[in-house]
Amino acid sequence: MKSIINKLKTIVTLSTIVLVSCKKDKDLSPLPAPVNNPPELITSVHLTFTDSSNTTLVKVFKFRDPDGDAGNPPVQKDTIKLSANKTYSLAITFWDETKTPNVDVTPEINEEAKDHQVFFNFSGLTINQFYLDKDANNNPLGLLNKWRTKNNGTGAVNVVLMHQVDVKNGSQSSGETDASVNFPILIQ
Amino acid sequence: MVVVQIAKSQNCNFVFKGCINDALNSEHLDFASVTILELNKSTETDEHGEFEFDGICAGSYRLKVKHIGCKDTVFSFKVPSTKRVVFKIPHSEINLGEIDVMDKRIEMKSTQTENKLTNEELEKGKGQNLGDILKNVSGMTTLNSGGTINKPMLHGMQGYRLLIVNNGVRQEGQNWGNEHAPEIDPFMAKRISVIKGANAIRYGSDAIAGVVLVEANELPDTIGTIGEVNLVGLSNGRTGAANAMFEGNFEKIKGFSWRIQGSLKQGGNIKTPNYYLTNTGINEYNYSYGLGYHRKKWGIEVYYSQFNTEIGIFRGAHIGNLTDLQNAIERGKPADSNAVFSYKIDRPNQKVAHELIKGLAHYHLASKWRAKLQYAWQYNARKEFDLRRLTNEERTTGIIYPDLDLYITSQTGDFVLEHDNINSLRGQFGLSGMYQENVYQGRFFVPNFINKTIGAFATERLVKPHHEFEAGLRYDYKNLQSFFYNLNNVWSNELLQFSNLTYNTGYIYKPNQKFNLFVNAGSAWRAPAPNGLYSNGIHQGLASIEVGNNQLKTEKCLNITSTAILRLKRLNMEVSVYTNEFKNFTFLNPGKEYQLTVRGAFPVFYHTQANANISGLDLKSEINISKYFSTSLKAMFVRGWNRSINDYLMWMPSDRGELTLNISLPESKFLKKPKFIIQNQYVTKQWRVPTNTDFASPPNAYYLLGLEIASNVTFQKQEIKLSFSATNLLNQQYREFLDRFRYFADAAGTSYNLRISIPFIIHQKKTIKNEINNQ
Repeated sequence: MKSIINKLKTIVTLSTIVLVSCKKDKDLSPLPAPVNNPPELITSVHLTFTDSSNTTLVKVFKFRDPDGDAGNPPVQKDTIKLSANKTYSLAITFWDETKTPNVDVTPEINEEAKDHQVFFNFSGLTINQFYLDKDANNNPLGLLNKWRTKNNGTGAVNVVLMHQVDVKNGSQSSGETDASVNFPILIQ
Repeated sequence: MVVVQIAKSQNCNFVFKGCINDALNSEHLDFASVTILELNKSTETDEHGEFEFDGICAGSYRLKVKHIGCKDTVFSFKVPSTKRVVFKIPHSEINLGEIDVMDKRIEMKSTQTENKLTNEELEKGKGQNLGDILKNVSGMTTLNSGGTINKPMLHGMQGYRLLIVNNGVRQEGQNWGNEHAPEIDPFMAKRISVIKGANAIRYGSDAIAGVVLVEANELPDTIGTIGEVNLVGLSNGRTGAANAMFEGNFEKIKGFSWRIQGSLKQGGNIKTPNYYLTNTGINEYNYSYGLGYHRKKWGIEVYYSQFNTEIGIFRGAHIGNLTDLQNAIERGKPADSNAVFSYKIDRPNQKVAHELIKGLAHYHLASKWRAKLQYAWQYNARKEFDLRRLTNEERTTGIIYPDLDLYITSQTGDFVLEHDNINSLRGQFGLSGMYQENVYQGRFFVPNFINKTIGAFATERLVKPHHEFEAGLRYDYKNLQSFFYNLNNVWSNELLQFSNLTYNTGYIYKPNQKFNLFVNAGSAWRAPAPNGLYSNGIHQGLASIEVGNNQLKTEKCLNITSTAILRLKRLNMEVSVYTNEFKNFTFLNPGKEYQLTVRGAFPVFYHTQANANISGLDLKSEINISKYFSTSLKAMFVRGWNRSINDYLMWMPSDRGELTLNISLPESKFLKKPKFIIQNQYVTKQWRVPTNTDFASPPNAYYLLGLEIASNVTFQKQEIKLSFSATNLLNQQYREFLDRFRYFADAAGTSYNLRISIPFIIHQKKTIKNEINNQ
């Protein structure tokens, strides 16, 4: 029996050494922060309206959520303010503000134009919208548009950028949403 | 010495009894495992060394006797002609052969029954993933993300609540995700079982649902070289899989044994009854090897395995916001109506690699005491690629960065001291420790963390002829330091410490061979997982924001399980009822307000804790109608209830049952054990769902029919196992509640499956075979 106890002692000691040595920690030095930046996000949508009768009249409206999805709420939600019975050209740009300097994602969307389309869903008022740009398959893209306003009033537009790999067919209901932003509209 | 008595009654109702004694000192050998190889029937000897089989048909059989410290011994007998036999089994240490048979797993019967897959069930599951194979265990289902990602779920619990032990080592990966299936090659697994109770305490306190043991066979102790080749073809997905394994024991270096195994698998787009699912292919390659060196009183083993998989995620399940999800649900089928078959795996996809190195040493301290020391190192790399626009850098360099990029390295050390029968007591004592580091790149979802745990346990089991008692105790300490960017974008860290005591007690009442009653009560606890504490972001594919809570407490569970087993001449039945009472049960609770982002508004789910209960019943029965017909019925019922908000728990399996009819066909010179199996599975609709949690109403009930025809074919002394089967034969269009992709598409249609297994012997020295002397 004594020999068993002796053997046991040796084994317990040995195994404690093994167990403890595996658990050696590095003075709790913090693990390194991630080096690869997360892939590009869309955090902001900029709408640039140019009055077609006077191209020096340029208005910019923004939706900005600089820390991306989740986290803090959006910091800027502009109301689109336009004049009645006018024609505007509208250029849309998409930005990633989680990066410094901020990255304009629009050229990448242009690069993959055949997998993307911007949709506009108006509510509360009537505005005529026309696509001015096309992808390689001659389908609308929607980064450049023409808007024709009517009477004074208020309403809203839901601007949606859809990513539609293999399923781009002019319908907003297939593919996945890259951006979907509501802008209130005031026509005066 | 083995004394076998045969009592004759009807043709197929012989009783085969025996008693196993030590050849040297005539001591009764208890807990010896006795198996009739041909019938795959096993039992254990009691404390008087006695065992009994009933319902045996006339014929020739081989009996395998296994005992700690003994070589496996096989001997032949005939029923009913053998009346009495004399047989020697060497046991005591002095008589131990030169080579000790080391890790003869102490198949401790627990006071909760062990659910073990039979060889046939393992054979039938070849080419499937681990989750699908485990579904054969009663009480087991899977939580799916399409057809290729299946997470095992026991009694409605999965992920961190169900521990998977891979060849004696806790499997440590990114277990938090519902789309993260266990990284284990099912071809390697020759023994798959699910254990609960005091036995499970050994592997950790956090095995709330139980422990799934996945193991390769023991390294061979017979001199020679043998091998096995498996080939599998599945028509759906045009999947092919192949596995080869060789193992041996050198004659020149006594006690040196080895095994090498490797498998390959490739599958393409899965077809539902009406359409193909784009990008649902799978690509897998795995290999493992083991080396062992065993001497009289000690032994060492080394094991290495590598698992590599690339899984396509169904394209139609990739969505950007809640509107996309609602559109997909309303459409009722994928938008991509022209999908065709392809093996190509595009984004979105997962690439996962898992590596395990294990070293194990054991030492016989005395005839009844053994010590084991194990060290294991695991590395898990998971890369998930989303279907998103490529950046200019990616487009020009062609190198695409993963959106989720996680590495987790775990080291575990275990020391176990176990003793054989001393005054009817058997027990295990042990220490275990783990050091784990998690590192992420790219998008944040779980933080970097360092996790340190240490635990100590003791279990003892008292065995009397008609009663058994068991008790286990375990203490664990966990230290979790997490590193992450806080809301102000500052790299910060937080230290959390947890410690707790776990206990388990059990009782078995076994008045006779026909009836056994198991009762077990125990506790378990689980420290909050890093994702529950700190995650904050959009969960891809679920159109929801998940918000962690660093105030989460330890989840505690009390479990009571009772199992009754009835073994009659024509009827075998096992009924298990269980209840799990949770304190601080962690779940995702939908918030009242939507969160506005540039992609639209998202529902927010908070990691919340509540008191909850999960209870249920498992039923398994087998009726032998005649020599040629037998039928089996399996059923499970699970109820999950959130006591704090008085509502159901999400992701609980609906009630389901399976009725199988087995028909044994007549044997011939070439065909051995030919059989025909008809499988009927019925799954009811899950209407017990919490309010405001699910995005679509639960899918309807469904019925699936399966057929299998299988036989062992003998061709020039070479035995080949052949099986041809059909799953979902009626090409039923259905969706399973537990499939996260049910919002987007139907489940798989018919698949015709061919499986070939070829075991072979390259050379082998005859085992000690003891023919029974008729007297």
